[in-house]
This record gives sequence, C-alpha cells and structure tokens, in this order.
Amino acid sequence: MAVSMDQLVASLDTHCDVAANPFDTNRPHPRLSEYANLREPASLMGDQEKRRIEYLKRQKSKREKLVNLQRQLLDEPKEKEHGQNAEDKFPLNEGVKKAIRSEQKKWTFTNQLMLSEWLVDIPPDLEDNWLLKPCPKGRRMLVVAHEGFTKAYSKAGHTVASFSSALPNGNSLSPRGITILDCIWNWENRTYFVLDVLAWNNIVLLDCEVESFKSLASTEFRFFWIKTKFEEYPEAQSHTDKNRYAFLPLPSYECKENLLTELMSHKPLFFEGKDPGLDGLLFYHKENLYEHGSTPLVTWLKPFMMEDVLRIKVHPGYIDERPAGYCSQAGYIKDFEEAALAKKAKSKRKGFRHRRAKQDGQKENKMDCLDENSTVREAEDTTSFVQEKGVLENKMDFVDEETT
Amino acid sequence: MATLSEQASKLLDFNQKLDITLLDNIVGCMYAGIGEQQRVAQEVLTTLKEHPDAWTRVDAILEYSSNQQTKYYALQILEQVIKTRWRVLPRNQCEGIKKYIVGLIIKTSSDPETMEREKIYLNKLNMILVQVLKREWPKNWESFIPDIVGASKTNESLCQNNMEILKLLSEEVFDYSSGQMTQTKAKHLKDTMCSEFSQIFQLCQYVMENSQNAPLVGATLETLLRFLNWIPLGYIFETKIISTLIFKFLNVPMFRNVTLKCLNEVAGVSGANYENMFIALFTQTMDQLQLMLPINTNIREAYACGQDQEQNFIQNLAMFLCTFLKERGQLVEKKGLSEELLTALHYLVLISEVEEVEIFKICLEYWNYLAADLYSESPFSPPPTLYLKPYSSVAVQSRREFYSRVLTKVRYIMISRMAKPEEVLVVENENGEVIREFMKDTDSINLYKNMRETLVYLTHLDCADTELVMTEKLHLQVNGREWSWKNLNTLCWAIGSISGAMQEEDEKRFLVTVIKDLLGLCEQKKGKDNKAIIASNIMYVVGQYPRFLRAHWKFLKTVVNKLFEFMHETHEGVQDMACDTFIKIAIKCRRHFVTTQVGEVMPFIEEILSTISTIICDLQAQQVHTFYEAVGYMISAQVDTMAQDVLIEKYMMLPNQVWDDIISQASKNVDVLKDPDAVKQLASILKTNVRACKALGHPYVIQLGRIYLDMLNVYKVMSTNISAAIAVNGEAVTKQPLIKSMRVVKKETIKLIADWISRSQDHAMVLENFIPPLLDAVLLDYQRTNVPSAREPEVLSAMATIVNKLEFHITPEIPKIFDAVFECTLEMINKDFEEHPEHRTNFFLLLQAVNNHCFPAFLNIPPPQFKLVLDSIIWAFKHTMRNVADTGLQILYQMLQNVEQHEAAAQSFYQTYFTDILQHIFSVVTDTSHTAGLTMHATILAFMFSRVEQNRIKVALGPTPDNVAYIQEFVASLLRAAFPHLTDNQIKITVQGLFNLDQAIPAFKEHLRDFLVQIREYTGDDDSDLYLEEREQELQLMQEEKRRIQMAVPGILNPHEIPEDMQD
Repeated sequence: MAVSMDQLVASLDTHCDVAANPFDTNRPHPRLSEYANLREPASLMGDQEKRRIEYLKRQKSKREKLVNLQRQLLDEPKEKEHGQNAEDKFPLNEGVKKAIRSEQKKWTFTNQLMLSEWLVDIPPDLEDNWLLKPCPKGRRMLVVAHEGFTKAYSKAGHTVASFSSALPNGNSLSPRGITILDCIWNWENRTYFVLDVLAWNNIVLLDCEVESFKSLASTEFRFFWIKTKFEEYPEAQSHTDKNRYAFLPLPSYECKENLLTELMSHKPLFFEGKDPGLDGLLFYHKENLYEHGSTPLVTWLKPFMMEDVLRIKVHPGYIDERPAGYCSQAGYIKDFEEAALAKKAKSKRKGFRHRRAKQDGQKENKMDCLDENSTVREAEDTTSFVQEKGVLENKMDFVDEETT
Repeated sequence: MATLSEQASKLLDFNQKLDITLLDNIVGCMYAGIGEQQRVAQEVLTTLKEHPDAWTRVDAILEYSSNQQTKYYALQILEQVIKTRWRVLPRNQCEGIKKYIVGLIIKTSSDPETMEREKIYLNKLNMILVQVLKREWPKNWESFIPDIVGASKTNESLCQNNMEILKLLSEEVFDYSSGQMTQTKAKHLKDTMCSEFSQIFQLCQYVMENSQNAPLVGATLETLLRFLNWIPLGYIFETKIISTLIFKFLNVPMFRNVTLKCLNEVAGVSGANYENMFIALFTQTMDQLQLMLPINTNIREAYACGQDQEQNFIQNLAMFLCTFLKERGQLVEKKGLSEELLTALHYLVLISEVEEVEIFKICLEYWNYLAADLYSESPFSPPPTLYLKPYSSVAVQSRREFYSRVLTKVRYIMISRMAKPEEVLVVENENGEVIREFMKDTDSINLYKNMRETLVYLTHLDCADTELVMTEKLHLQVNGREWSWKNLNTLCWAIGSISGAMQEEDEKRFLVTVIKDLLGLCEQKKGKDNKAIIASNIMYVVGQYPRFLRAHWKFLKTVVNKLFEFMHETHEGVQDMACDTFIKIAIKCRRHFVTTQVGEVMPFIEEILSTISTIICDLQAQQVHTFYEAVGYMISAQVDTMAQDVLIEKYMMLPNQVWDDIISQASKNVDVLKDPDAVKQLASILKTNVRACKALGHPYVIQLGRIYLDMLNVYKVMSTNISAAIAVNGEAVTKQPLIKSMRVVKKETIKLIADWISRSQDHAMVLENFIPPLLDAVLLDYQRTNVPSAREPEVLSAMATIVNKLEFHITPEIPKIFDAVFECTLEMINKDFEEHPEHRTNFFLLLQAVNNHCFPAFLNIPPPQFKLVLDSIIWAFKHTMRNVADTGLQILYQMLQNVEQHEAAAQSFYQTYFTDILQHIFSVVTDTSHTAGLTMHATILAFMFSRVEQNRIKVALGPTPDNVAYIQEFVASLLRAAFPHLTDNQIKITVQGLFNLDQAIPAFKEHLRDFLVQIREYTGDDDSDLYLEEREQELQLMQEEKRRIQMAVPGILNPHEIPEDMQD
C-alpha cells in the first residue's frame, strides 16, 4: 500500500484542521505529542518568533496612526460636559459614542476573545518583555457589563448568564456605559477570574476595527489598569446581593526564573479550599495590544510542560497530570538542539533557547541565561523592536535562517 | 348594502319572475366587489344555489344572461342537482335537462369561433353531460355512443368537442370511478364502453387519417391517449395506429408531445403476443427520434434554454424510454438489437444530465431498476476467469458486459449529482429552546435514498469502476478543475453512500486513498471557510465507514481527538458537525472505547472522562447533551457491571457537582429555585441525564438513585412556584421565560423517570423503590394543580409508559393513579373535542394501557366510576382526531374481550351497556368523518354480534328472551329511524348480513361498506374516501416487501439504519 496507516493517522492529525494554526492550543502541543516526530519540522509549520515580530510591527504602525488621530481629536474644540480627565481617559466625543453604540448592536460577541498559541519558540526576550498569568481551570467567558446588566458570553458568542454585578455599568444603579472583561468562569467558587480588560467604564482598551474608538493599551498597561481599578471596586470581588458572582483579578508575574520556580512549586495555587486548579500558564508580551483571535504574542503552556519547555521545576502533582500520548521532553529538546545547531554558525543572537540548547549537555538546571549580563545584552539585541534597527536586524536574521 | 340584501331576497322568492339584471349585479359583486358587499353577495348566491328549486331557473339564466360568470354560476346549480338529486327528479324533468344540455353543447360547439370563445363555459357543459351520462348511460340512453359518433361526422368543431366528451367519459369511468360509484356499476360501464368501442375507434382513426384540422387532430390524440390503457389490445396492435402515430405525428412539433405520451402508454401495456409489434415500435421510434433530435445533441443545454414545449418533449421522451426499456428491455436484448438499445440508453444518459430534478428522478427510476436487475441475476458473480461457468452464467456475464460502458456513465452521473443525505432543521420549540431536528422523508432525503441504492448496486456490479470514477472526481477537486464546496460535498456524500458495498480490503484501500487526498486538499486550501468544509467532509466520510474505524484503532482515536479539537472551533457549523459525527461514531464503535486497545495503557473512555470538562467547555448546552449521549453509548458497552458503575459515576461527576451545589443551596434557601440561572442549569442537567439514560438503559439506575428524591422535591417546588405565579398574575404568566424553564424542569423530570422505567429490567426494584415516591410527588401534584393548563400532559403519558412496562405488576396501584388523574383530566376534555389535545391523547393512552394490562383493576372500582370509564371510551371514539378515535376503538375492542374472560362481571356488563355500545358504534359507522375507522368498527360489531349469536350473553337484553331476535329488531329500528329513505327490504338484508357475516371480518366490512354506499347514493355524499384505507395498506405492504428484499443486499442499508444487534 502506498500510504501506511501510521502516515495516514499523522497526516489526519496535522492536516485535518480548521483553525489553520499548528500552534492552536486546542490541538496537542506540536512538539510534545504522540505524532510530533511524524510531523514536519517546526520551521515548516511557520516560525512563531518571526510572526511575533511581524505582529508587533503591525501593531506599532497602528499605534502611530492612532496617536495622530487622537492628537487631532484632542485638538478639536469640544464640550467638556463630562469633565473627563484627559490624563487617564480618552476623550469620547459624540461621534465615538455613537460608534460604540452602533458597534454594540452589531457586535454579536462572537470570537471577540484574544486567544493564545502554544509556546513553541521560546522568545529570546522572555524574561524582560513578557508577563505570566497563571490560569485557573474553568470556562473562558467574555463578560460585558452594559446598560445595567452583566452578561457572560461564551467564546462562540452565546449568552451563558445574565446577572447584576458591581462592575461599572453592570447594574441598574451604575452609570450608562460599557465594561468588557476577558474572564475565566469557575463554577465551584461562583467566581470570574479576570484575565484581561477590553473596556472599562466606557474607556476602550482593545484594538478593534472601528477606527474612531481605537485606543492603545499595551498588556502591561491593561494589567496595571485591572489591578488599580479593582482596588477601587472592592465590592466586585465578593459575593453580595448586588454582585452575584465575585470578580477576582488574576495576578501577573515577570518571567524570572526564580519567580516562576517559586510559583510552580505550589499546588494548589489559587485557594486553599475549593481550589479551581491550575489549568495552565499564559505568557503575554508586554507591548501586545488586545486583538481578537489567536496571536503568537500570547502563549500557553500546561503546568507539566514548564519543565520540558522552560526547564522550570514543577510540583510533582503537575507531572501526574500528563495525559496519555504526551511525549515529555525528549522530542522537544532534540528538535531544538537540531534547530539551534543549524543556526549556530550564523546566529549572533544568544537567545534563551539557543543558550538553553547549548547548556543542555551540561545537565544543569540553572539556566545560564538568567545571568544578569547576558540578559541585558539580549535585551539590547532583540527586544528593542521599537527601534527600527532592532527589527531590521531580526528580519535579516530570519532571512539567513531560511537560506540555511 | 341593505338594499343589496333586500333585493337579493327577491331572487329567493320562486313565485316571482327571475330578475336577470339583479342576478347579474350580484354575481358581479361577488367577483368584483370587496369587503362586506362581496360577503353579502356570496351569501345570497350560496343560499340560492342550495335552494331545492334553484335548478328550475337555470334555463332562464342561461338564455337571458349575457354575463359569462352568471352563466357559469347557473351551470354550477345544474351540476349540483345532477350530483345530489338526480334520482328524485321526475323522469320527464330528467329527459328535459338531458336534451337541454345536449342542445346547448351542440349549439356552442358547432362553430369553431364560438367554441374557442366560450371554452370555459363549454368545458363545464361537457362535465355536466358526463355527470348525466354516469347516471343515464347505458340504461336510459342506449344510443349514446352511436349518437355522438354520428353527430361527430357532421361538423369538425363539433367533432372536436365530442372527442373532449369521450375523453372525460373515459376518465370518469376508468380512472376515477373507484369510490364514485359502486363496483358493479363501474364494471357495467366499462363493459359497455369496451363493447361499443369500435365505433369510437373508427371515428378516431378516420380523423387521424383524413383530417387536416389541427385542433381536431390534437383533441383526437389527447382522447386516444386516455383510451390506450384500457382498450382491447387488438385495436392497438392489429391496426395501423402505431405506425400512424410514429410516422405521421411524432415528427410534427405540434403533436409530438401527445404522440410520445401515446407511445409511452403503448409501451406500458402488457401484450405478450405482440413482441414483434413492440420491437417495430421501438426501432421505428428510435429512427424517427434520431432525425428529430440528433444523437450528439447536448440535451442538458438544449433543455436549459428550451421553451416549455421542448422541455416537455424531453420529459416525455425520458418517460417513454424508461417505460419501454423497463418493460421491454429484455425483449430488445433477446432480439439482438444492441445498436438501437445502446442508442436509447445513450439518450437516457444525456437526459439524466439535465439539471431539472424531476426529469432526473424519472431517469433514476430506470437506472435503479437496471442496476438492481443486473445485480439480482447473480448477486455473487465470481470473477470471470476463475471458474468454469454454467451456461446461464455466461449469458449473465455478457449482459453485464453489454451494459458496462453505459453504467460507467451512469456512475459519473450518480456521483456528480448525489443528493444531500440528511437535513437538519433549526427550530424553536414550545418551551422557547432552539433545537436541531433531523428531518425524515423530505424530498431530498428520498432522492438520496434512491440514488444511494442505485450507486450501491452499481458498485456491486463493478466496484473497481466505481472506485475509479470517485478517485478521478476527487483528483479534479484536488487539482482545482472541479473545486467548489458544492461539488466536494456532493462527491463526499457519494463516497459515504457506498459504505459496506465493497469487500473490506478493497474498501480499506479505497478509503485510505480518499482520506489522503482529502487531507491534501485541506492542507492546500487557505481560509477557515474552505478548511471547515473540507474537514467536515472528511469527518462525514469517516463517520460513514464504521467498519474501517473499528479495524484501525489508532485512526479511530485520532478521528475522535480531532472531533474534540473541533468542539472548540467556533467557526460556524463546525461544533455541530463534530458533535453529530462523534455520536455517530460512538454508537457504531462503542465497544472499542471501553476496552484497552493495543498500545494503550487504559481504555480510551478513561481519557475522555478525565478531560470531559475541557472537551465540552466551548460547546453550547444542546451540543453538550449530544456529547453526553455519545459517551453514554460507549459506557453502555462495558459489560462488567462494577466497572460500568465506576465509569457512570465519573461520567456524571460534572453535572452532579452543579446539581449538588444547587440542591445544597436550595436546602438552605428554597428561593434559589426561583433564580433563572439556577432553573436553567437544572433543566440542562436533567436533559443531560435524559440523554445519559437513553444511552445507558437500565444501568443508569445508579445515577437515577443518586438524584431521585431531590429531583422529585425540585419538581414539587417548581410546580408550587408555577401555580403561585399563575395565581398572582393569571395564565399569561406561563409565557414568561422563567416559568417556561420551570416547566422544562418538570417535563424533563417526568421524561427521565418514564424513559428509565421503560428501559428498566427489574420490576420489583422499580415498584419498591421508584414508584411510591413518584406517585406521592408527581400524581398528587397533578391533582392539586388547580389551573388545568398548568398540569403537564407528560404525567399521563409517563404513567401510560410505566403501566405498559410494568404490566399487571402495577395493578394494585391503579386505583391510586386513577384517583389522582382520572376525573380531573376528564373534566378538562369532556367539554368539546379540541381543547387540551395533548392531555386528551395521553389520557386515552393511559386508559388503554390500564385496560390492556390491569383490567382486574376496573372490576374492583365502584359501578359509577366504571360507568365513567366506559363513557370516556365512547367519548374517545367519537373524536374526529384520528389518533384519539383509534385509541378509543382499540380500548373498546380489548375491553369487550377482557370482559368476556370474567364470567360473573360479563353478564351485568352486557345487560347494562351492550345495546348502548351498539348504538354508539352505529352512530360513528354512518358518520362520514369516521370512515377511517371502518375496519375497527366492523371488527367490534362483528365481535358483538357473534357474542349474541353464540349465546354468550345469558341475560335477556330486552323484553324478549331471544337475544338474537331482540338485537336484530333493535338494529333494524335504529337504522330505520336514522335513514327513513331506505326500504324495509334494504334494512332487513343489511341486518341479516351483519349476523351472517360476523365470523368473517373482511366480508363483514364489505357488507357495511355496501350499506354505506346505499345510504349515500341517495343523499349524494361523496364517498370516494371509502376505499382510501385499503390503498394505504396495499402501499404499506409493498413497502415492507421491498425492504425485505433490500436487507439481503450488503450495503443497501445505510450503516446507521441497521439494527445494532446485527453488527459490532
């Protein structure tokens, strides 16, 4: 027979696909699953790091356009009826409000969530430019507080619950407007864990299609916003008559090895009582804007993968959660070694993964890359994407890579 | 307006002279007026029409009115009187009307221009004449045929109309006579027409040979067409008529459609002795055809841009070819006319490519016949070279070879236009929930079934060729030449349709290629839309091949993992596709998920159960329910009870967590059960349980026991809440979403319990543990609910299900059940025949169940209550809702049989109720709205009469000791009172027959039917529905026969139609 059943199975696993993203988190991790060795090498599947740079570049140009636009808006004479504070609120003139309103009607809340990819290519600037959020088990929801109701929508946009909350705009007493949160719903605790914020009391923080109500709010900014705003709304964090379900902001962490190791040594992580359990870890690029759909600038690992991918020792309880068909580190490391070796001669970058691959032979757990000096150097090398030079350098680097 | 009705009253006064202008005005109002005016006009005209003397005004109206509509109205009056009162009119009046009509027809049809102008009027006159003929000819009008033939020779346009009359007469006598007149009458008319046909035939022949008048010739051909299926064969085959049709008329565009229809009729008649004539017909027609429609014509395009006439020609040609080849194909083969045969087949192939689906269906019927015929000759035909074949087998082989090239083309056609295998309708049900319904028996699905069957036969005939065509079509998808969503779907439906038709090894090889190509396509195409379509098709194909999946575990597992992946994909339709495919596969491959497969450490079900929350997290509620049902099927395959219970516990863990949580909250504060979210959650959990129960069957008991008492408590709380809400806000409150969801919780609870009990296998356990709490909670609640519409009809159907399942075991509980539901439900439905239809239907189903299984319970209830039961049965069979009436009759029949078994009770039963029942049955027998129940009426009456006759009734039913004499007299006087127009003799014979025939139900029924025809002959009621019932049965028998044959052919039945115990 021309095609063996094994090949057919591997091909089915790879090619029967709707999302068209091999790093889709609903599929097995491309390096850590049963058929990983039957697949094409990662470079053929699309280089995640390369796409990250493209995404950031695209976002940056958007951002520049937007700054110009807002400058115009600010310059325009307007009524100051709401006495907005220009420092932390973008002025919403009538036109913008209208846009939100019409957008509201048009919005079906389908596919509005920002979705992660598997963390496959380890970003060279992981330690400096990325934030980590531990993610409890539960159902991903888009929570919209608007016109006195708070509604939770599933990923596909179906209304799952409708209730009253202490969020701004979430109950009949609060001002008109809109607040949109990206949450994980946990039934046992009747709690929405807040991952991210798309809009807060009519201040829009997401990157969306309507030109006039776009704003720029990097991940770092949004996370800071969540933290400070929820301090202003303590009532939203507890169960009361006015606030049926608690909204708890999830903490974020810098991706420093010691921090991560500390974090991963705890199980349960969230509560002592009805702990929802750690579903996985989300890595957010600090400069990333909130966009709907999947993005390489937010990546995902299951707890037990931390060891295989990032060499972070985890609580043994997580290791037990490995599913059947999980292929542990062997395949993963091997892949990277090969990729790294191939690049070795050319690459001037001393990336996280590069270094790690090099160190692999020494069987050392402590990663060299955490060394202060090298980190600084790396940051200069690869994370200065805001400077044209850095981007160009990277780009050239990839051109090289492809020619090898 | 007042004036209008005032004036109108003059019209109804038959002492005054008819005011024709007034009538014209009113008819004008009726057709052109609006609103109130039109309504009044219509009323006046209807009243006038129904007046017994109205027909006396017809001649005046026709003579003096110049308004066509008024004239038409007059003709309607005339028609009415002929249909209903002809037999009560004095003979001289009949003769008068007859002459008058004939005169009018001759007058109107003698001049071609008048005839054309007054076409509608004339048609109506013709119809009226035929109505008269049906009553007069031949007895009172012996010379009709010579009269009309003679008159025809005087004038061409008169002749044309006479053809029309003959056509109508033929139709009335031969096509529509069944049920319109008694069988003997119909036979008499047919015989007369046949014996006098030669005159008519000569007339037709004369016209066809000599007339240059096109409309006349056209009418003659149309008339001939009606004759062809009944005239003696000699007229067709021993005259020149066939060659006249072919050579004179077939190639004339104006006549070719009707000519082809005539030839089609001829092709269909059975004439074993005229083989040569059939062959001549075929070869001559084919010759002519090739001149008219060259064989290289692109018929598909010609049809697409053709006129109506041309399109009809293609359709008629398709019918002719299909009829001829089906009836005479073997004959043509035998005569060795392979060239002509191939030409005909070629035409049919070309016609099969026509876009129009109705034309395709005609062709499909023949292809299906041909493929089945070739297959059935030797179902297991061995490869030609391996065996020394007996002589017959050589012939078989060569037949297959002869058709093989045509069949390849047919394969292309079937594969390129395969119909959609299933249709899903998204609807909102009465509880406001959006649900998906799989449609059965739509046009498209029937087309799919026929095409599938054909393709399966074609695959059996040459599986390599089918494979080749499919692979080739697939390549055209991959290389983009035929790529489109529609084409890909069509192709994959075709691929999926032949599952099981190939040998397993061939099937495997074929499937691997197909899947590989589809995967390549999926990889190659960009965009979610494209990928979603391709992925859905891949899943459809693999879902159609359970045998392949069962043989390749790793593949099966990957497919299932893929489906889980798709359950997160929010692109439209993907999640539904994933859930539907998953349940299909789960049912067919269930065992493979609960056993540890080679290379695995545990059964796959364990993996599914431990990740269930992740798998379903993006699904909508109803998709989750489907998912649970699917997993339930897998668990049902675990035969070890202990292991199964462990699986079930894990399986239900997620819904149970939520359930426990709500219950524990409610136990602290019962108002939690008024919270919309909580109620919705409960409803959803119960639905999950219903699906789990459906899949697991009896073993579900472990889960049911866990939630049973809490569930019944929730039921009571919901019921209290609903009643309270209605008490405060009125019945309108039941439309509110919250109340609707509360009712869903109640309905699902009842459904869950009934579903499980119907699947349970341990009567004692059910009776001991589940029935008492159920009766306490649900039945008491039903009775106490003081707003009738808030009672759930499902309570009654659930009780019926339970009684049917537990049979006599539950007899002791019947009084309790009846106390709770009987009177309060009867109260709801005894006011009329319509209100609360669900309660109505279910109530009688419960009564039937109790009567069937727990009859002794009836003997123990007090007489007034028993009378109530019997009254309600009689009430049931008086319904015009057919299902209720049928149930009522079945209960009564069963009850009569039950009563007989209890000697003591029987006699007092007879004494009290026998004549009563008889009377009520006769009232429905003679009621036209109850004709559907005639068989059952006959069965019951026959049973009752035979009890009397066999002296099973010991007590005297009347004042005389002789029950037979008494009942005969009783029935006779009953009929006499109801139908005073029947003669004593008629009644006497009828009653006599009722006794004489009471041992033979069919004869008894015929007898009853004769009686019904008699009473309707006079009143003129339409009795065409009296024969529908038999026809229905005939069709059903044919259907069953067909299915029986199909079962024997591997692959003919869709894998999902085959009963589970026959495979896996």
